[in-house]
Amino acid sequence: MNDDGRKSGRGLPGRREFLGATGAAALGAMARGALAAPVQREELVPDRSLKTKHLIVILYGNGCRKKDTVEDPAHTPHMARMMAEGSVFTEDFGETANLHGYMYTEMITGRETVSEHPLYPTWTEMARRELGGSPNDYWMLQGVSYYRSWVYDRKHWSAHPEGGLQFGANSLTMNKLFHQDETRSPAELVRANIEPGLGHTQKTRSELEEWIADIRSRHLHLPASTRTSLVEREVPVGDGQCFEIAKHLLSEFRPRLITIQMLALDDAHADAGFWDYDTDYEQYRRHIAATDELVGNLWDHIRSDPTLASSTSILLRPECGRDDEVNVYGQLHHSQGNYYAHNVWTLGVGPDFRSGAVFPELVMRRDLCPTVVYLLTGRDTARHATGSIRTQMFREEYRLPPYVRRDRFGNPISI
Amino acid sequence: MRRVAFVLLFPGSVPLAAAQEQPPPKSERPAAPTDYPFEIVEDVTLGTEPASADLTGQLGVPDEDYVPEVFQYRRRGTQTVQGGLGGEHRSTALTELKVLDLAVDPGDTVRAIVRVEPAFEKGRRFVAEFWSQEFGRAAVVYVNFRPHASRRNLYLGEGSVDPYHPGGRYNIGSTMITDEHGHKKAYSTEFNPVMRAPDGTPAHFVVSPNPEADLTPPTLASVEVLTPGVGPGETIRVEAFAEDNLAGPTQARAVFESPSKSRRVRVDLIGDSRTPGRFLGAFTIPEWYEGGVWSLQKIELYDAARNQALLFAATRPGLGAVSARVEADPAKRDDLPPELLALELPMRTAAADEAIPVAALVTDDLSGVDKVYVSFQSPSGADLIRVELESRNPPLNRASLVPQPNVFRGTLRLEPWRERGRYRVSRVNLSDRAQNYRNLNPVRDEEVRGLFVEFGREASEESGKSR
Repeated sequence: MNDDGRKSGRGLPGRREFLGATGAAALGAMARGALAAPVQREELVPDRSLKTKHLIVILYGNGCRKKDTVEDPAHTPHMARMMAEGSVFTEDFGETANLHGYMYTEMITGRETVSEHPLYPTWTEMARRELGGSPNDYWMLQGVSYYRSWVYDRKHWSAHPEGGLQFGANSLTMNKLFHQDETRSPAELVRANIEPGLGHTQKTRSELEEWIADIRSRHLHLPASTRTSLVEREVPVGDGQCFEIAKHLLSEFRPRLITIQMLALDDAHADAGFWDYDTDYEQYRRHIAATDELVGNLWDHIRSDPTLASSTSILLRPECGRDDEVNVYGQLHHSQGNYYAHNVWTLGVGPDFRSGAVFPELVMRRDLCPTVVYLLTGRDTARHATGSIRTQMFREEYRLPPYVRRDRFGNPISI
Repeated sequence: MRRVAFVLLFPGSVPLAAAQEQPPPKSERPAAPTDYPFEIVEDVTLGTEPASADLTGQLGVPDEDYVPEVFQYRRRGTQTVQGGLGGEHRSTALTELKVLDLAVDPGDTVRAIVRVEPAFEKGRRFVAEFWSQEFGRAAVVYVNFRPHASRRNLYLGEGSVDPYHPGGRYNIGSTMITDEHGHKKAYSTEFNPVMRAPDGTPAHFVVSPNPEADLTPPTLASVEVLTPGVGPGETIRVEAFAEDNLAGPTQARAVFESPSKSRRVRVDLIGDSRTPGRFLGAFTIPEWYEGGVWSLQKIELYDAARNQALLFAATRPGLGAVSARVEADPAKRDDLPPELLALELPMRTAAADEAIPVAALVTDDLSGVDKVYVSFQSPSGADLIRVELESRNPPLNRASLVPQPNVFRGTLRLEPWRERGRYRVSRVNLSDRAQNYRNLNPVRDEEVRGLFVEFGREASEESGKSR
């Protein structure tokens, strides 16, 4: 034990340890409240039994504006009908709007980071640590492994002492697993793509291999046709495959958690420095229309299955938005300072959420992680997160306490 | 399976592989503020197939296997390699990075030096962000690198530690390099070992404890439009007052939004040195824009410690009511972008060092054509050249030479390192003085489809081999 009575060792250092005595004294001189938050959040929301047994979290791309989606229901009719059935936050803020590798890590860990690879436990690790289960209960899907300087297929686990690979997910990258030129056997593909140490048994590994073989043999990875077609490029097609694969995973494994990270919405400025990928704002709009239908298909798939319908939820939020304006070159960047780049939306549908509820109050990107963990586990255990559970979106009869908005250091902000 | 190694710095942290079998040892010493509290995983692939990119910069990889950055998003087996391309498309790779000033005081300069391979043909600056270990992006030191005057493989970086930066350790975060092609490459510590200090942790420096540290953004005391009603072209004046706890407010910006929300105008508010915290703005709504009530969309405040407050009217009650009623002549309102009538490429074949004239005829209904760009994409897509066309009269002294505001001319040239072969028109971008944009793309727009210039080749006819 340390002199302040806390146990040292596995956890992260406490504030006083971390700063040293001089540093702590220096902080004491700062404005109170700004830096006074504990590193680890106290439990705030009471435990409760929830109906959600399966959850799909959609990281809606590398930046997407609400102006092109929930504020434009004619362009995204499927999201519009899901909004009517679920809860929507319309002012969901993130301090950073320009670094993908930073933002997705902040989302899935619920706190600021200094690294692209998670340093704090991800929602997958927290849920699996709490709920147990095999790796085939937890999945992370992405179209490609690398795009525009960022790595996307290594984010499901951290090296944090309270997380670790043993609590990670099967991370499936569409263009590494599912394409017509792939000649390797399912066993070889699993070896090449699934990290050892996830906790697979011979049985779960065999189940995974058999599932991959089945998907490939029946070409089930091909995205469904949509009224607005997917752009025939590797990244948007990969996004489309993720939605198709998610349906099959739900049917086959009944997993607890699937995280889908869409990537091709960055086509809005994909040619900026990456000339081979000559896309623009119009292709971004097209991808929104195509994937809106795929999101709707996924929701319909869930509702058509009596078991899943009463036990499955979807949470959808972009990493960030995009700029207020398209530039003269036809690009739509995501830059600091633009309202639509910082403020996005979150959509939640499922048996635990209010129906037809719209929340215009300010909420934070870091909230998503504790909300995901609570929705799956019924416990407020995402203690490292500096966000809060979005209690207002849960059904009224649950009588959860009011939402607590927090600043980037975890300090509650009076609303 | 590759060996997984960990650098153990935080007391009590344990190798991942051992974490399941044994409880962690108790701490034997208190952590120092300069310790890095996280484990470093030497290889996050853990023996599985790495991402489709080679994240180390592919040093020493022969041209036959080297995949330029622009093709690394593609899956393996379909990536174009340098060996099949004309021109030079190797990313400039960081081979060494060293922070020279490991311990600094607030107000000091921190320096770093890097070595890159190959040397830049034309030096471009690049920047590394160092993030506070404790406060993340709330406290960032930007280190900007500049090329050495004569040794083109070396870059020296300098960053200013504000007098208000908090003490503690700052780790290198996002580092972005742009090369002479405009290609970008990002580096991070988990994927690029060159970004690490000799002890295996992220490259870093330590700022001494700072009792003056300031991480609190300024607050807005008031903002007011001093001219609530203006006629066409008249100046709108704004006054804002900001307060700050320590460093003091230094900058303010605002954005006003049109009644239909389709137009925005940015307004830099200038600090009044005689009255700290007072900011003044003066701006006009362009005559081509809509009239009506223009409302404040956001106000952005900075203090001397570079803390930023972003205040949006959508989430800040009262801000949206700050507005000005603008009278405008509806007949002048211009919401339509220019139109491309013709694009002329008189030479379809050229020597590699030849200058190719490009001309366009563009019209606009009201405000007049402002900018015309024609972009050309190289055979493989590794290069893009954007030519800005201008409306200028040739220098002839003739009475008939009246301005031709619809004729735009420019020149397409290849730099020596660019790919040779067929450069096709990949985009035409037009704007008028009312900032209406038109973006023409040959995938969608027939009028710019099939246009190209064939530059004399020096190497292969193929646009690229795959691996």
